[in-house]
Parts: sequence; structure tokens; C-alpha cells
Amino acid sequence: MTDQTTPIGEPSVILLAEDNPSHAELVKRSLEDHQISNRIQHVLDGEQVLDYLYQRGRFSDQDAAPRPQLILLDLRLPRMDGLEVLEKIKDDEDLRLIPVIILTTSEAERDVARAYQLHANSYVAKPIDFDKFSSLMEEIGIYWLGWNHSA
Amino acid sequence: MHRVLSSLLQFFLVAGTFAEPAPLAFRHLTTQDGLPSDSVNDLLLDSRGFVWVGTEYGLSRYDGYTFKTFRNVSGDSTTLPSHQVRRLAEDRSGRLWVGTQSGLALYHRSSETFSRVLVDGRNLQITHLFVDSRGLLWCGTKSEGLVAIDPAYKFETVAVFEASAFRGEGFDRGGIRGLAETDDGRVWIASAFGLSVWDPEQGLSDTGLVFPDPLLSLEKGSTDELWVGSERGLTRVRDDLSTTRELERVAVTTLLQSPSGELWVGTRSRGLVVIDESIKSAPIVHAPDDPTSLGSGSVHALLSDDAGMIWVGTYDGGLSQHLPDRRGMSNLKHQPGNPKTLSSSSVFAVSRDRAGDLWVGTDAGLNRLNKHYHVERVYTDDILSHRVIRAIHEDRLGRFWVGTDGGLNLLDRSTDQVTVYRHDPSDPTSLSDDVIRSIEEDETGILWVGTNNGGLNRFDPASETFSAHANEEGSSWVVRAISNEQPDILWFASGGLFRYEPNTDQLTTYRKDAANKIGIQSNSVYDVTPDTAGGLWIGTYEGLHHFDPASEAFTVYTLQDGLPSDIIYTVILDRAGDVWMSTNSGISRGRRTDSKPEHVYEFRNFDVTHGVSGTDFNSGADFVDEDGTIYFGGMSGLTYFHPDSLIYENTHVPPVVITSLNVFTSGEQAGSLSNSVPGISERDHVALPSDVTHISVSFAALDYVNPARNTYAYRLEGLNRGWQQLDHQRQLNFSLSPGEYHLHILAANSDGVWNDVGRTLTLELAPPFWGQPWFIMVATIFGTGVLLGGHRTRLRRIRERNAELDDLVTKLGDRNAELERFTYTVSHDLKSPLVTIKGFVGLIEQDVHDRVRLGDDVARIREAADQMLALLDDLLELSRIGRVVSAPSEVAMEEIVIEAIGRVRGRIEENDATVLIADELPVVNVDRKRLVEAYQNLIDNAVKFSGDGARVIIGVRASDKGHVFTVRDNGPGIPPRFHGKVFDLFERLDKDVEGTGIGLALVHRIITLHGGSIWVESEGEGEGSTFCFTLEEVKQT
Repeated sequence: MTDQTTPIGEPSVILLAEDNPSHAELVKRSLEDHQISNRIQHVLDGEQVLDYLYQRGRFSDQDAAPRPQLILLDLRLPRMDGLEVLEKIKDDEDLRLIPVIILTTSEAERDVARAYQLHANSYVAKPIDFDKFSSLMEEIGIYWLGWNHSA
Repeated sequence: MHRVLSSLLQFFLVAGTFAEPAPLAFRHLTTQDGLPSDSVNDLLLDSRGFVWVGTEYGLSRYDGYTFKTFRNVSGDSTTLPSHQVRRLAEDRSGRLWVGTQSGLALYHRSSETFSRVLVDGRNLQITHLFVDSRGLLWCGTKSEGLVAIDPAYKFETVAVFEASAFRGEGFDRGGIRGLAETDDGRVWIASAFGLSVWDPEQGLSDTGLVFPDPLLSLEKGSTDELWVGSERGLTRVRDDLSTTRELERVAVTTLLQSPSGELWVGTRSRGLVVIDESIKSAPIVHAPDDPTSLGSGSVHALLSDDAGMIWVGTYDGGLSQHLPDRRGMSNLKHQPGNPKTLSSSSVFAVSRDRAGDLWVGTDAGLNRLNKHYHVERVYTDDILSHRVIRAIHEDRLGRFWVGTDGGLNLLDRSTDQVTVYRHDPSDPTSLSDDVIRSIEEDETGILWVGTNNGGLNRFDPASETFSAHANEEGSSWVVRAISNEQPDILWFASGGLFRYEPNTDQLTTYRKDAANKIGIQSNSVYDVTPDTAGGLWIGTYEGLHHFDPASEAFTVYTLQDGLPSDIIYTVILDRAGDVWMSTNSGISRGRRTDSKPEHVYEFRNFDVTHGVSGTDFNSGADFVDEDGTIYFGGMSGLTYFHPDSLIYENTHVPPVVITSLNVFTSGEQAGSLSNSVPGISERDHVALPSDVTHISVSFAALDYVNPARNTYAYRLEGLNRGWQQLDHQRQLNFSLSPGEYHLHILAANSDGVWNDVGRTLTLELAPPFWGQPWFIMVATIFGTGVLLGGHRTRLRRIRERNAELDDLVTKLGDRNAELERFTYTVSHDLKSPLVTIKGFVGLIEQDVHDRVRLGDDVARIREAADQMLALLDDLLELSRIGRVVSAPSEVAMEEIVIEAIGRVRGRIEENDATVLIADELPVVNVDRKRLVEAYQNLIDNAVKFSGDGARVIIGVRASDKGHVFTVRDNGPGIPPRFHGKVFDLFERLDKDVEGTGIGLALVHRIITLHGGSIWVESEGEGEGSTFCFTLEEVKQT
């Protein structure tokens, strides 16, 4: 297996799947504020997530769609539901190595259980309070791109 | 003129010299079947597919199964004006008009009531009704002339022609007797003594034609000619007004030009005559001893239905039905007094000899028939040893053997010499029993003779000696049929299936054994016929069997596989490999099919409507001749046909109707109350009250060829069930919990032609009082209390309570699931904008010095707050709509639409959209405010989803459900799979477009509260969508 950790100096790439542009803006701003990543790739629906990861369609240019080190995935996505996207990622031998964090407003037990059954790496609910939102983003960045060893 | 006419064909005098085809077979419906009276005056097939029967004692609607009868109730003006229904007509909007002895009535399908229609203030005594191509209803009366009314414009009288306009004196003799229209739009009027014509330009005029006798009937022919029936004949009137007398000495009461081109002539007491391209049939009469003859000789009404069946309404003989089919089956019967017909209709044996003569054995002698199927000679006990003939065989040497109930006869057909072989107790080489059931010749010229009571005999014609064989079965057993297809092996049908090898005297018996699933399923075997693959077909008392000797396995086909009966008397294989059977319920054909693996054979059944002689057949009475013609003998004659020329397919797609909906409610008192919902066949939506315990729905496929064989399937959407096959069952009982259900019914005619659209009935059950939260709490506490304090005497009640509680728990579970879905969606949709608001408020604090970002932050907050507000507004609206707040009022729909457009003006301008009101909208009785909301949502959606340059057209169209209001757009369209879903709460097909997912749910609720229904029509993506809705009166709550 090849070493897929990010070489020193290369920007960490986070793929953010979020249909609500305001929420996407909040995530980006929070991560930027904490200098977690300078490359956040934002896609708006479930199909785009897969297009990005498989470098298809408008993501067929490899430079435009560098492999992410982390995926932040909303559950309620247009075209293809977040859980379905998750299932497809975790079904793919290669893509399943990328940690996927479910980032959603839903705290429904059903959704949490289903996400873990489909091998989500983490499940976090978006806090309403912005301070908490902001520090959550920081901690996610520190943990998943710093402490955590990827495959 | 009279002399000239009468010198033409004297029809009834020459009829006797015609060749005699088999008389037409009829099936009957009489008062025993529910017909209100056996005297039928008129017949009508309505636009829904029902047959209406006007009789001397009431009007009936027939659906193929039951007659729903309407009569006069004195003092009730919503009933028929009189029991005596003379004439029926349906106008172009599908309204049914009933002409009675005491006036004209209009039937209201939705309430199943009538209203009486006065014309110029008068009650007309209707003698004739006719709707012309303009839609005018022409009412012929007994003494008040002719009135034309326009049903489309509040029944305005268009024309009145006083009686004096029709050569006055005739009116004492019955007034207007017939009306017809020619292709040029002229309406022809037959009054007692003359033929008049009405032209829209020139009005009414007399044709000047002179008829020798009073006119009785009028029909337009297949070309532009008129047929005029009168007291003593039938006259053909061509378009140049030249006439030909076509029939004489019969009173022609009614005429029918059938779609297939024949003219059916109904007469008074002389039956029917069919005229096909100037060829006249022999009179088709009532024969008291023939149950398949016309019900009565006096014909009053004729009808041809969509399957081509002819209906004959008679005086005192009920309804007779005939399915014309010249390429169907033919039959021969005994006709008293006619020596050219069979000596008896009880046929036990049939065979054709090498000279080409057909021999038919009956219980009254042996008949020899020529090529025209005329009987030329009957051999009875004057020559033969017995008059009952059960077996006929011509052997390889041309000797002719006849098996009778009095021994075996060798008949010399040229000399009438007969040699008789009988049982002689003193002679062991004599026949073992005198009653012969079957004769089969083997390859060595030995005759094997099966008897009724003495088993199997081997007869050597050379030595004229008999010997009993297969004696293991004892000496007295029956041999109904013998097969000797394989060398040295005989199969016979007896009290089981027997296999016998004469050379080794080895007998193998196959009998019913409950433990053997692949064994024979009957011990009454009637026939055995080998197939070409070494197998056997076996007719038994318990189904058709196929035997595979290799595996020793039997396959059984019964009623459930589509056979008309389990009792199979005879089996014949035709050249194509089809299996033909005579049964005790007609004839059936089995055909191998590859399409249905679970049924290797599919069966098509034939009855009297196909030309079969009757229902019950006889074992042993089957034969297939050299050219492939098949003969089956039975208790009502001999049926014969050639399988290749038998073309009968009923391709009529049957309309499906709901015929009744019975609603059972539980009262305080014991037992339940049943209510029938009126006009159910016209409705597609029924809202039911909360105290309904169960419902019973009946439906019918309106194909009358063989209603008992029509098949049904249903699906109840709302209970998550797939299609369920019902076979011939046409009633369903449901016990439903509150909610909305869609009952879909499909049906096929008796030949398996399905109506794939079928009929859908939406049932809406209001939640019952025990579904209300307060009741659930009370019930739970009460239930618990009883359980704690319960003792023996209450045990029964406790059990009942427990059952009720279980029921409640289930229902509560359903409601909880619904609530959970609701909370899940709402919490997400409310939380999401909050995350935005709080987030950007936090960012504002950071961005306080960055003006550009600040502006963006604030804008996003405002947007999110607006989104929340919209959602809350919609939710509140939805909860409020549960009840109609304001009373309905009469308001012009256009006003409502204009107000709604005003409310979405912002969106219209933003999208540069055009909204058009295309049609003149009617005045409606609605809750104005709600309807404005409904239109507002529909227009808003249409503009929103169609994007820039949207074009929205608001219109209305007429349908059988009343006005259908439409909102059409040129947007992306909606794929059919979403058509049902779009009205669901929180359903958003395109999440890129803003919206709460409540709008259409709201519209749906508003329309439903108005008793209407709403649906979307869209050809699919890119084709635009049309939202359609109907309205009824606002429900009183």
C-alpha cells in the first residue's frame, strides 16, 4: 500500500459536501480562521461528491480535484442522499481510506446509527451556537488532519 | 302499388324450401335472474357500458350480474313517473332520458334519482325518444306530436310539431312510432300512416310516400336507406324515395342495423328475421321445447353491444342474448315435426364412415346424415336390436358395427340385414353384457368391446366368439372408452385408468390414492386419448389429467386452471396439438403456453353463445373425422366445428365500474348498520365518517359475453399491497384504519382481454374519536384500571378491552411514526436557518471592521430568518386549514384567479413570466379565501419552476366529473413517478429551488376540503406540467 499521508508543505484538502451555501461559508470561514486548511473543495450535492472523488465530469481535471484528506458530508443532500454517498464511498476499496465525517443538523438517533453502520468515521451535529461551531471546526481540523494517522 | 309489392318475395311461404341452418342459439335473462318484468320495451347501452332495460314494470340497470331496478313510488317526484317504461335515450353529455307512459324523466347518476321533465308545461306520453347528431333530443308522443329539446341549454324546446302536422288521423293509432337520422342530418319521422322528414333549413315536410299499413318502426340502414317497419311488412326506402317491399305478412315492431352490417327485424309473434345483403334468414322463432331458442316470438327491442352481442327484448319472454359468429361452432338438434333433423337431441355416439356419411347414435335410434347434415335415414329398433346407440365402428373390412343397449349389431348398410350378438348365460363365448359402451379394433382385426356391466370382451369376427378379458377386475365393470394406439397395449377408461396387455394378460390399474400427489385424482374415468409424445389425456369426474408413462406422473387441470367444469367427458387432440374437451358445462380447448410457466395449458371455453348445442355432454360421444372436424354429442344435440376455421376472439376491452359501496358503521346497539353510497359508479372519491367499521365494494367489468368468466385484480394503495388476483370474485370487504386509500380495480373479459387502466376509487377515512389523543389517554387509563381491578365476571369484557387496546396500540404506533416523520423534518428545517443566523452573528462580531464581509453576513442572516418565517407561516396555515373557516359563497372563479395573480406579482415580474387566463371560468360555490391560496400556490410554483420567461396558462375544461380547473406551465415537467408524491408534505423534487415543501400539500388539503381532487399531468421532463383540480360542493361540517 502506498503512503498517502500528505507530504510536508502540501496543503491539506478537505472535501465539503453541503447544499446550504450559508453553512458552507460558515465551515470555510471557521477552518480558515484556524488555519486548518487552505484548500476546501465545496460541492453542492451527492452526485458531485462522487464525481469529484472519481474525477469525472467537470472534475475530470486532476488538478481541479485533488484527492482530499478528509470529507465533511451533510446528510440531506440533493440528487443523492448523504447516506447513499457514504455507502458508495465505503464500498470502494480505495475511497474508503479517506475519513468521512458526517456534519449535519440532524441529531436523530436513526441517522447516527445508520451513518455508523455505513462506516462513517465520525458523526457530529452542527451546533447552533457559532462559538461552538467555530471551535468544533478547529478541533475537527486538529484531530483529523493533525493527530489522526490516515491510512 | 300494393299488388306489385305483394307479388315480390312472399317470404314466409317460401322459407320452408330454404336449406336449414342450425337455429340461432340464445341465452336468456328473465325475472328469475332479477329482470323486473319479462316484457321488455326498450334496451340501451349507455356511455359507461351499462345496459338499461325498460320494461312494463320498471327500469333496470344491468351490469352483467345484477339488475338494479327503479320504479315509481307514488308521491315521490324523484322516482320514475310510471312503472311502464317505453323508451330510453342517452344525450351527448351522457344524461339518461326515460320515456314513460306518464311523462319524460331525466336520471341523475350521482344521486340515482329522477326528475320529471315537463315540456311546455306538459307531461308527454312518450312513444319514442331519439338523439340526433346535433345533440337534440326528439320526443315522439302518443297524441301531442313531436317535440325536440336541447338538453345542453336547460332543456330549451327547439321545435314543437303538433299532431296535426303528421296526417292527423294517424294519431289515434299510436302517434310517433319511429325516428331516424340520415347522414345528411335530416331527421325522419314515422307516424302511423306516413313518413315525414325534418330538415334544419326547411323544417318539417311530408315525404308523400303511401304505405298500405300503419307504420310501426324506423331504422337507418348501412347505406343511405331507411327501413320502415309496418303492421304487415317491411319496406326499404332509398334516398331517391323509391321503395321496395322486403317482407310481407309480419308486423315489424322494431329494427336494428348491427355494426357488422345485418338488419335485425323484430316482429310481433313471428320472431326475428336477419337480412344480410338482401339474403333473408329463416324466421328465428320461439320453440317451447328448445331452451336455446328465442325467449318469445314477440320482439319489442333490439340492441347490439360493444362485443357484438345481439340483445333481444321480448314480450313475456324476457331478454334473449345471441352472439353472432358465423365462423364458430355449429350444432344439430332434434326439431319436432322435421324429419331432416336428428331423431333425438340426446347424442351418445358419433362417427363418419368411409363413404362420407355421418352416423349419430341417440337414445332414439341411429341417424345417417348426408354432407349437408340432413338426416336421411333413422335406424331404430325396427332394424337394430335396440333403439339406444352408444358405439359405432366401421372396421378395416368395411363392416359396420353398432353398439346398442341390446347387444352388438353388425349392420349391412345396403341390405339392412343385421346380425345381432347378445349375452347368453349358457354360452361362455357370448358377449358378457348387452349394453355396449365402446368398440376398438386392434392391428390384427380383433374388436375389443367395452360393456356397461361386463367388463372387456375380445371379439374375433372370424370365429364370431367373445372372450372376457382383464378379469382381475371381476366380471361386472364398465369400459367407457378404449385406446389402442400402442401395439399390444390397451388403455381403458373405467373405475380408474387401466392398462392391459392382452398377450400377457397383465392388467395395471391407476386409482386415486390420497397419499400419492402425482397419482390420478379420480376413480371415475370417462375417456382416454393418446398424445403424439407417448402420453395420455384422460377425462375424469375430477378434472382433466395428463399422464406421462415415463415418470408415471399425472398432471391435473381443474376449474381453477380455467376449465369450465371438473367433469370432463371426452378428450380429442387436434392436428395443432390443442386438447378439445366436452364437459358438463360446454366445450373447452386447452392450448400449450410458454408464457406462463405455472400453467402449462391455458383453456378457452365455449358455450351456447359460440354455437355449442347446450351445456351437458356425454361420454363416448366424440369423433374427429379425416379433414379434422371435431364432433361432440351431448344432451342437447351434436356440436361440430373445425378448429382451424374457428375464429372467435372477443377483443372488447371491458369498462370497469364500481357497482356498489356499502359502508358498515357500529352503533350503540348490537350489530352494525349498513349504508349504500348512492351514485358510486360515477364517483372516484369518497370521504367516509369516523364510525365506519368496514366497507364492502362491488365492481363489474361491463362485458356481457360471459360475465361469470370475467376476471378481476385489485390493489389497495395505502396498505402497501401489490396487485392481488381475484379471478371471478367481484366484491371486496375491507376493514380500514383512518387514512387515504386508493383502490385500483382491473378487469378482463371472458377471453382474457384486460382493461389495464381500470377504475380507481379513493377512500378517505376520517380519524375516529378513539384516534384523538384525549381518547387514547382516557382509554389507556380506563383499560389499566379494569385490568387491575378485574375479576372473573369481567374476564370477557377485559378480553374485549384488551383486543381494543391492542388495536389502539397499533393505531397509536402508526400515528407516532407519522409524528416522528413530521418532527424530524421540521426540526431539521427549523434548525438549519438557525445555524446560519447564529453563525453569521458570530462572524459579524469578527468582521465588524470588514464592511464588505459585514454586508454579506447580514444578508445571509436576513435570508435565513425569512426562510424560518416562511416555514412557520406555512406550518400554521396547514394546521389552520384542517377546518373550513368561512362559509362557501358564490363567486366568479376569474375573480379568485385575478386576486391570486396579484399576490404573486413580485415573482411574476422577477421571472419575466406571462400568466394567461385562457378560458371563461365559471361561477363556483367555494371558500373564497382558500381558493385564492390554492391558486396562489399553484401559480407561484408554476412561475418558480419554469424559470425566466415562464408562461402559465389558467384554464378550465369539461369532464364527466364536472369542471376541471387547470394551471399549465412550460417548465421542466415532472416525471410520472413523482406524480403522486408532489402533494406529500415536505416533498421537494428539486432542492435547488427555494421552498418549504408545504405549498402543494396545502393546495391538496384545500381542494380535498372542497370535495374535489387534484392531480398533475405531465408528459415528463421538458414537457411542462399541468396541475388539475375539480371541486364539489363544500362539505357541511
